[in-house]
Amino acid sequence: VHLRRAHLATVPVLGALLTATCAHALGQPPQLLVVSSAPGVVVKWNTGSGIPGAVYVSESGAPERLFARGPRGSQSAPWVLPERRYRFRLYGEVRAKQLLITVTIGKKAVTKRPPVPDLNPPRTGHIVNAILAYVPYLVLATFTALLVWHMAERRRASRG
Amino acid sequence: VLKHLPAIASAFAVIALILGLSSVLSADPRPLALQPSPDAQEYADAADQLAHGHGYVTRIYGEPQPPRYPPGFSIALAPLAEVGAYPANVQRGAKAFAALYVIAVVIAAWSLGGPISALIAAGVVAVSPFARQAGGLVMSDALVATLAVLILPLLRTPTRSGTALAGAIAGFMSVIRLNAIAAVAGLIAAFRGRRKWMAVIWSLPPIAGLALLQWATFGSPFTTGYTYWHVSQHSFGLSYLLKTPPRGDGPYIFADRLHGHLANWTCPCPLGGSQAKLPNIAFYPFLLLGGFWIFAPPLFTLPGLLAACRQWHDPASRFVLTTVALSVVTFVFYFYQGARFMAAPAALLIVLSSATIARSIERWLHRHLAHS
Repeated sequence: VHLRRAHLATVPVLGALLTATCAHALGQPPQLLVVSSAPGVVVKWNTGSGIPGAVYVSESGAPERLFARGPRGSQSAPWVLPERRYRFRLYGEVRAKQLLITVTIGKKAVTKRPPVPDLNPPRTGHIVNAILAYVPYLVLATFTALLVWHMAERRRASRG
Repeated sequence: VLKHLPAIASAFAVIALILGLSSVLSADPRPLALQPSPDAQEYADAADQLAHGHGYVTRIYGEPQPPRYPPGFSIALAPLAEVGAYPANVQRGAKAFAALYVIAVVIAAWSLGGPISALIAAGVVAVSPFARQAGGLVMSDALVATLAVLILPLLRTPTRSGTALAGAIAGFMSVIRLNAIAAVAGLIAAFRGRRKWMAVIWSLPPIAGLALLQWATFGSPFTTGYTYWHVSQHSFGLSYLLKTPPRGDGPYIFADRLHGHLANWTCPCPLGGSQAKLPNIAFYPFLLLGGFWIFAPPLFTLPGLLAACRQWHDPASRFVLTTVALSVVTFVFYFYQGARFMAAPAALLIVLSSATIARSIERWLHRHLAHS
């Protein structure tokens, strides 16, 4: 009897989970809006189906930090600078953290790739390139020779 | 106790050195694509290109382009780029330079202040995050700092070879990072008479080599990779002195061990905390004094700085003060802020402070143990 009651008790929990999952599957798509607001921006989010969610932010590729939590909401970020790149991510939190949507803002998002190279970039000739291949060893040899000379001089000085 | 003190201090210094080295060598290398861009990728690729006889270039969309940075660090990495698979070979090389930094600081501190000084320096480097974080990155900062501190023992030995070596090191530092020419100025301040000119002459070949390379690449010895890539229209300016929040690394390359807590009074702060907030004029002095614990614990460098000011007659003090002052003066007017720019000045101050503190400890021990 006790076992059956325990089983029955899990029904509402499973039902809630099923409802949340179905609502998420059938409900509105998740939304994450970043709206300009001097100073900084305002971030608005909605997981779409009332499931718990969290917004994380990462600046210029740095690790993500928690920005806000809740199924929906709006929060200002006055510290956002126009010349930097920020990536906001909305996660659903039914059981495990599930990525719902990503928004990247800032000037650097546009110029993420390196600048388009010059069609005729300046280059050194083959002879210079061949010499350059030996430069690391020349530097190493010079420092070694100077070090040996220095050790010899110190030894002579200590004997004297 | 006094008789055995050097032996005990030496033993502990070696233990601290091993701990510091193991911390660096065990650092996980960050994947090259996730390292500071484009610095790390360019250093690594240019080293690989140099080693394979393609000249000092870096590939962008497969097309060889002149890198924006001076070639010194890639030259130092190139012999290592010939062994093993790229980029792991270059990353191993960068880690070896970070380990060399730990060894160099301990050797310099020993040379200036004996085994107790070496013990203090080894402990400071082992507990500070710089060396370990540098071990995971292909960045030139640890190598510049290593070379800077290796100059210090050479100032103590008045030999021609020592002067020549110091000059050559300072010259090579300048082709790793252009502002490291402050070390050449430091040597001019440190040496007197003929030794001064000898150091300058030995520092010139690397600088002349850089000018020749730039001439061969861009058609002018004064055009750098920065100019070619239009890194900044106004690299230096008065407005950068007080600009807050500045444009810079923040805590994302070298992070404060204390997470910026000692400067939290400046907040509200942008993302990155107080390390991303302070203007250049406050940031660099605060950093060098350990306010951001990256190179040394808070206030650790102060005794060295004060001792250097008092002992201007000492060549090492003149070298350190000139290099530190010129580095700070250069970077407070620079458009970009980074704790890593202070790696060499901070390392010099760590060595000087260790020697100063060691001398005080020895004096105190002699006085008290002699009385008892």
